[in-house]
Amino acid sequence: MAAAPPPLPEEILLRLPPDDPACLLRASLVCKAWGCAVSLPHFRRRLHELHRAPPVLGFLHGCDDDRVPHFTPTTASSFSLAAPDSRSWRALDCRHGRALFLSKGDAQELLLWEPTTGAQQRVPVPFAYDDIRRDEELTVYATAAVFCAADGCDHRDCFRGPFGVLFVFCVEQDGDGDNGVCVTLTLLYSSETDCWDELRWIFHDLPMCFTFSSSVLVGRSLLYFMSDDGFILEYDLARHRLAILDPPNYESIYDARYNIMLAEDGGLGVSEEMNPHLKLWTRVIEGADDRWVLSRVIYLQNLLPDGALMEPASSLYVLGFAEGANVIFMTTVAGLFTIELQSERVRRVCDDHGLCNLIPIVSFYTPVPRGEQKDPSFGPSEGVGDQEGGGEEEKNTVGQAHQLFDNGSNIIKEGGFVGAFGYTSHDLENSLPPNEEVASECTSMVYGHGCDLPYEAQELTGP
Amino acid sequence: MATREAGKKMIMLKSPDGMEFEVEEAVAMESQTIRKMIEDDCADTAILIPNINSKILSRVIEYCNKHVPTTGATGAAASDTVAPAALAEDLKIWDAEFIKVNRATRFNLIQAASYLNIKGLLDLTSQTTIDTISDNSLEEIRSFLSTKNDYLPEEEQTIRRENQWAFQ
Repeated sequence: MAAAPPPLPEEILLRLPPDDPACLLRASLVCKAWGCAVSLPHFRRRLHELHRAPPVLGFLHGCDDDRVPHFTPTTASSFSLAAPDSRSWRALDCRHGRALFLSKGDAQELLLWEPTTGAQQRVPVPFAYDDIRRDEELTVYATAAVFCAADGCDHRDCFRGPFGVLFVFCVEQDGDGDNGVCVTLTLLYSSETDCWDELRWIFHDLPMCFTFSSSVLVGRSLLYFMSDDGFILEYDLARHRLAILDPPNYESIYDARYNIMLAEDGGLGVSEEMNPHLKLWTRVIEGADDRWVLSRVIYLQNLLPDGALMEPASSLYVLGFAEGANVIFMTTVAGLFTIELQSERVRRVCDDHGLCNLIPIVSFYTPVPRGEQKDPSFGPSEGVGDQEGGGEEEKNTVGQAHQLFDNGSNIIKEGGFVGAFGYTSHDLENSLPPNEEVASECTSMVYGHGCDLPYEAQELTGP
Repeated sequence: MATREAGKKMIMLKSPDGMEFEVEEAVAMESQTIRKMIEDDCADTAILIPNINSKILSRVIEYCNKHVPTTGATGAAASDTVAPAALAEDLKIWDAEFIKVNRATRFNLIQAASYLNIKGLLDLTSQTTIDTISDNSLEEIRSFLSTKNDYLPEEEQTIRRENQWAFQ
């Protein structure tokens, strides 16, 4: 037993309440030794060991209302983070210590921001998206997700390591009556190569807009997005495959009452607003089949204050799910509430600001090491923001995307798409085949094996 | 030295100032550090506990004796007829008395609990300090800890300015 006892401050500092960052910040000012102890990476790792689940520090909102502060704390006492300006940046996602934003201006770009260090990094949007969104005949809806790309990482202290961004955009051709055609395209960015990889896409016949919900990551490789109409887009990061799933008990697109979440078993889950209940569904996969199983019903009238659940039923909305903390954000006429799913503990956070999509920040707070406050960037970021870098390959994807859309559109017009199964998915390999090949391939997919779930065309096209 | 007394396995703990404490193995195993040594078969002879003097070690053993589940020295008195809630209440009162020590002793106990990895004792001994940090001004915390502020005035000002939310 040669080892000496560990330093005293660390043991005390570790036990300060994690949901009250002011305590730790004040303690770090007691003396330099304490300030140093709390800003070491080792300290963050020990916080994870001792407290296990990190707290929800607050949330960003992905709405266009500039009057609401971009960051709202949910901590026990006052707390603040200098989040990027909501007039310029729309929050899309937050995971593994990084938040992701898309700029609101005409010249779009992505911004990564580390809430606990304040470091920022800009990433250009993919050329294919930037080009298509400028086409006035097309309507484009975009979202994106960020994730740690380090192999075998436990995500306790990885926000300086490699990361990936999955960019998703749905393209809809305007003004063609009921026989619309939509294609959702994805591109994957790697911070290690500083490049967007090839286009992948899936056809569907209703547009997917992503303003009410953020993404969830199931396991290490399945990213899910929920469209405003309740459809779920799946992207498999390991196999680079896209699929579209229905939510449970889906009736019509005017019945959007779902939000995406992680189920208790860590798989894909969905919350369904059924005022005064909240139903939690789990996606169960058995062999080749998958189905939704009702896993829990939360009786909100017992948890929320009187009058919060007034009629009509639309007075209850789930606005977000905190991955890693198992907390649901929901709003009612009585304000915005969090529900800890394990304990069913409910807390009122703030007034209902009419927000539509919340992006929770789940992390331990640790003060920034002295002298690093002014460091605005993270990681090696050569070429970032340089739209010329790797340009030729990127420009090819623009052509591919247009070609793909034109051909898909022709198939629909020729009657090959509507009335058949709704979804087709295919990977664009290194290059796109000539037009005829694409057309025939798409047609065969539509009639053949291109869909992931049997689907009725009538339901898809709506009334 | 591991011996047997009245059917219970005993173990010897030694402090650096030469004192020896014979304790039941179950009591010693309240310390995760000692438990690991016993389980790894590294505890055939007396275990030397570095940097923890006999005064502190005896108090740590006193705590472990009280908190060892049911079969411990004091726990043996707790029969099945006593409700768990009452037992917990009794322990709470005992803990409150136990921690009525001076600051130096408490810090030594925190250090000992940390090294010996006794979670309950660590939580108990840290709590007063945590409460002080949570509820008081910086000057009061420093005075409570008998710590000197070695930040330059401008350094402290910068941190305060950049983190005004923590001082509201």
